[in-house]
Parts: sequence; structure tokens; C-alpha cells
Amino acid sequence: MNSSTRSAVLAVSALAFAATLGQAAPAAAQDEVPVGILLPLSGSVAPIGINNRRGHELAVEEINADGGIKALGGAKLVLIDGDTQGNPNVGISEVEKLARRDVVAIMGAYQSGVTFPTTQMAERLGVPYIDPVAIADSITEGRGFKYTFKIAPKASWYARDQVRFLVETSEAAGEPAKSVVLMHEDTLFGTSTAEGQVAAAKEFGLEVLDSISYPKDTADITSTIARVKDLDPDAVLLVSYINDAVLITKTMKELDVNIPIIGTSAGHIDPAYIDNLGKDADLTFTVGEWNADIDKAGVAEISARFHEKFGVAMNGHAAETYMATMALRDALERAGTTDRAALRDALAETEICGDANILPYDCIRFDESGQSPDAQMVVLQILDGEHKTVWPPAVAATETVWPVPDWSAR
Amino acid sequence: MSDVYLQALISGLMIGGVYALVAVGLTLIFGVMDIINFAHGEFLMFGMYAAYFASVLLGVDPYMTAVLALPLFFALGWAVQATLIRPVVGKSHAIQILLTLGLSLLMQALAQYLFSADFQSLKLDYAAATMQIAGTRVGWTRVAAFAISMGLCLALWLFLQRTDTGKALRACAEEHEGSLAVGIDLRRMYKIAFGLGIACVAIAGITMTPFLYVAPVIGPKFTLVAFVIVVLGGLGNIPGAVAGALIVGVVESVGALVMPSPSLKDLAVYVLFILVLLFRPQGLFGSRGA
Repeated sequence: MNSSTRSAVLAVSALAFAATLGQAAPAAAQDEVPVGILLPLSGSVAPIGINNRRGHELAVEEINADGGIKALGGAKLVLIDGDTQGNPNVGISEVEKLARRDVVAIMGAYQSGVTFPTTQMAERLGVPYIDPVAIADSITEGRGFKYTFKIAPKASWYARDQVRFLVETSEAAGEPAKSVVLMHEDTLFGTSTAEGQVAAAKEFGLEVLDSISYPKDTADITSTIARVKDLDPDAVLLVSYINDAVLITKTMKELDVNIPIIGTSAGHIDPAYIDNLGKDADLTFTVGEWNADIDKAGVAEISARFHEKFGVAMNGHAAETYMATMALRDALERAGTTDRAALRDALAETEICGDANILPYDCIRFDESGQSPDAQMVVLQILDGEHKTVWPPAVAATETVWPVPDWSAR
Repeated sequence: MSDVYLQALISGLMIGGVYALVAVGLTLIFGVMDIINFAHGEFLMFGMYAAYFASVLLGVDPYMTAVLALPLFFALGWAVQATLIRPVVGKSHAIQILLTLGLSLLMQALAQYLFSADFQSLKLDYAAATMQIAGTRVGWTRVAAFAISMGLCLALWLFLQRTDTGKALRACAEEHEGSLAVGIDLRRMYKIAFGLGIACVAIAGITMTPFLYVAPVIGPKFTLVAFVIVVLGGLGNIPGAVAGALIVGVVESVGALVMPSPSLKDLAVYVLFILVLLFRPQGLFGSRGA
């Protein structure tokens, strides 16, 4: 190595070092409010993490275009990314890094398994943490955390709202449902959800005729469907991935089983369910977090802006992360400071109601545990090849088709 | 309630018929070449994709594809044997297993790359048509899959019994050196056996596309079922494989009702499998030393 290359190497290293210094310096100039975003931005769940980030990004863009945080002299929100890689340990160290970079609050982390330990770290460091998407009940139950604010509904509320929908809709039609059969795929997702369904059915006075678990890679499910037909419940509640969801619907048509199908998001909310079944997908129900057609002012406009900016349709996760950012803005305006403790107190007083909340219920608030107590699911029905919101009535986009007509009458 | 069991019995027989064609291909390859083809289910998956894309892109009916598949997949099997399998014939089982297992992974990855990991299924107008027997309902597409599979199993069996090539194949299966001594071209027989085996399993896949989804990961389940059937029926034994397949189909289907949970239906099959291995290791229909 001659001396000129050597000095070139030295110069490059010096520049690189300077660049890292620049990065590590606090980004908090007075006219900027750094906000930590904790999401899996690489690894196997990165596509979902990246989509979650879009909700934050759209909200920040709107807030800054609208003059930033007025109580802080028009300071602009700036997103600071912490990549969890879908890994709880990485997530914990990212929380520490974000805290050192003076973020006012952290929002994340999509996965319940990452959100649970990272909220603990945020609690210890005294950083307000808003959880828009991760649903596990345990995130807010029995922990007594002061800095965790969970906009996402609890996991157990999926089953609760599924059953509530069935009870309310069948009563409104004059023929109250009395019994259900549960069918779920036999991994953790299916079995844990089914436990919630059994509890919810009991709470609302429905008889569970059977709770059937099945292997999701099955090639033939005819005999199980024959059993469901024989039990003749008023509805079948399913927890399925996409391929088994399709196979079950096909087999129900083949055996002429005329029992309403109520799915649990996952396979039944996947657009591939409609692609695979065509018109046979019609009239299937599923619970979901949100839908772009819900009857609230502003939702159509926001989802159109989202589609224009990112080229993909806005989904429930993005709506939740969007609202989390709006809740943070609201708290910053009321706190009038970037002090984390003051911001925490302001968040605890949150009350975003009516059309200001694009989620399918009236008010975003936080109870003692940090849970948004009014959070609820929507029920969608596939009509003419599209998922349409049919429940709760307050935000329904269209009338429910109930009772569901027989296969032969479609 | 008896209707439910009758329904389970009939749908078990229908899917069992398709299992038979899958297993017959496996047992033929094993009988003649003494090679266990772990990539068997992946050829089934390729057959399904062939039918899917022929229908979606070219508008070719799956049953038409099944006819075209016979020469096409025979040729594919021939080519795979000539290039990949031939070097390991007669080598240790470990090497053969590594090769066919590797082939299976390669084909899955290839399918995922080419066709995406999404589950896809055909939407055919006639797919919903059902026939009713004694209070049970069976889709015509399932009846067709059963009939085509059974017909092909019979045709294969007649081919092996009646034609010179078939007899030569059986001779290879019986005694390699002896058939060499009487002038049978072993290498050609291997290619024919592999070609026939692959054509069988691909057609089995194609007959299922009207009622089953297609995905890159669908193969291993069928490979596993075919192993169980081949062991039940006696290695290399074609009528045994057919009988074994029908038994497995029915045990699976009725097992899903009888067992406390349908998740345990495979358990019923494997319990049967272990019992056979313990008490009749030559298979239900095999003769000792087959």
C-alpha cells in the first residue's frame, strides 16, 4: 500500500466516523419532535411492519402540513425508526436506543410477543408507549403500567364481537340463534381463539354443540363437514387460514350445508378467499379490525389519500397506526411540552370521539390499565365479491343479508 | 347419524381411489428400481399446477390436461431418471434418499419461485355438481377423480400382466441379474418405470384440481400417505397398493368422526401402519420375501 492510498483510506474512515457521529447526535432540534417507531422493518414479517409504518407516515405528513404541533410553536413531528427484526431482544435494545435519542414517545410493535417485553422496558425508562396493533390481552392486563397505552382491542374481543354480532343480528331478524359449532385449525392460533369463542358463547347464552379442531393442511374435510351438517347449528364459527377456509366453504356447498359461516379474520378476510371461491365466497361473514367502507366522515378521504401515497389499499393495521399518531398529536397539544411524564398524563386524559376517530367505535380513551376500553371489531360480509361492513350498525356500510339463503337459492 | 358415517365412508373411498394412483406410481418405481422417491408428492404438485395454468391461461379443461399429461409427464419422468436418478441406482439407500429428498426441496422452492406461495384453486362451472346416494352427497368431480384413478390403476396392472414390456418390468422387479441374463435392457426399464410412476402421480394430482387447492407445499402430505399405503399393501405390490389406499382413505375419513378430534385422524392411519409393521411386515397383501 503506497502512501497516497493510505491517506485516501484514512480520509474515508474519518468521513465515515464523522457520519456516525452525526447520526448519533440528538435529532431534537427545537423545531422538531422526534417520535420513536418500533416495528419489524426487516425479517420475515417486515412486509407487515412496513405497512404499519405507512399509517404513521401518512398521519405525520398531514400533521406537519397542518402546521405541526401548535402548542410547541409549530414543531414538526419526525419519525425515528427502531427495527425490531421481529425479535423481542432486538426490540428491547431498540427501545433503549430510541429513549437515548430523545423521542417523546414510542409507537409499536405490531407483534404481541415483541410488544409485551418492550412495553416493560419503556415503562422502566419512563417513555410513553402507544400500542396500535398488538392485541394480546396480557399487554394491559394485571401489569399496572403507567406508560403503556393500547389502542388495539384485546385478542379475546374478536370472539366476543363475533358472538355479539350473531346474537344481535339473529334477534333483529326475529329468529334468535341458539347454538353454534366451532371449527378451528389445530395450531396455537386456532386453539387459543376457540377457547375465547367457547367463553364468549357461554357469556351470551349460546350452546356450543361441538368444538372441532382440524389439521389445516388436510386434503379432504368432507366427514367433518358431514358432522357439522348433522349437528345443524345456527352458525358455524371458524378460525381458519386461507387454504382450509376455501376447502371448508367448497365442501359445505358440495354437501349442501346451509349454515352461516362466520370467520375470524385470517383466512376469511384474505382477498385470496374471494379470488379462490368466486361467487361462492359471497355471504360469508368475518370479523375484522376495520374496513375502508365504514360509515364515518373522513374515512373514505383518508383511505383515498393513503392509496394515492403508497399505491396499496389502507387496511386495519394502517388505520390503527394512523389513529395512534393522531392520539399522540392530541396529547402533545394538550401537554404543551415534550416532557415525557407530562405527556403521559396528557395521554391518560385522551378522548378522541366521533368523526375524529376513524376506528369503528365512538371514543378512543384509555382506562387505568392503559387499554382503550371501547375498542371493538367490525363484522364484514362478502357481497358481490367485496368485503362490506355490516356490523356494528353505527358504522355499517350496508344491510346484512340475514338469514343467509340456501346454496340452491343463490 | 348413520348418514354421517355413510357420507364419511363414501368420501373416504373417493379420496382413497386417488391415493391409490399416487401409491401405485411409488410402488412401481420402488419395485423396479429399489429407489424410494421422496419427491413423489412434488410431481403431484407439478401435475396440479399444469392443470391449473392450462385451465386459467389457455382455457384447457383439467380432464383434457389429464390426457395430455400421460405422455408429457412420462417424458419428464424419463428425463429425470436419465439425468438425476440413474447415477444412484444400486447405490446405498442413504444416497438415494438424499437425492430424492433434495429433488423434493428443489421442486418446492422452484414452484414457490415460479408460481408464488399463494394457495390457488380453479373455479369450474361443473365443480359444484353433486350426485346423491342414500342421503349422502358426493361431488361429481370426486367421483370422476376416483373413476379415472381406478381405471388407470387397472390399465397399469393389465399393462404389466399382458404386454412384453410389462412382463420385462416385472422381471426386473423380481430379479435384476436374471433379467440382464435373458437380455432385458435394464436401463430402459428403469426409465419406463420412472416415467410411468411420474405420469400416474401427476394425473392423480390433475384429477384433484377441480376440488382441491394448489400450493407449492401440497406434496409432502401425499408422499407420506403413499408411503403408508405402499407398506400396507406390500412393497412393489400393485393390487395391494390399491387395497391399501382405499383402506387408508376410509380410515382417515371415518377416523375424523370417531376420534375425539379430526386432528387425530392421521393418528388412526399411523396406528394401523405400526400394527402392520409389527405383525405383518410384508404388508397386508404382500407375500413373505416380496
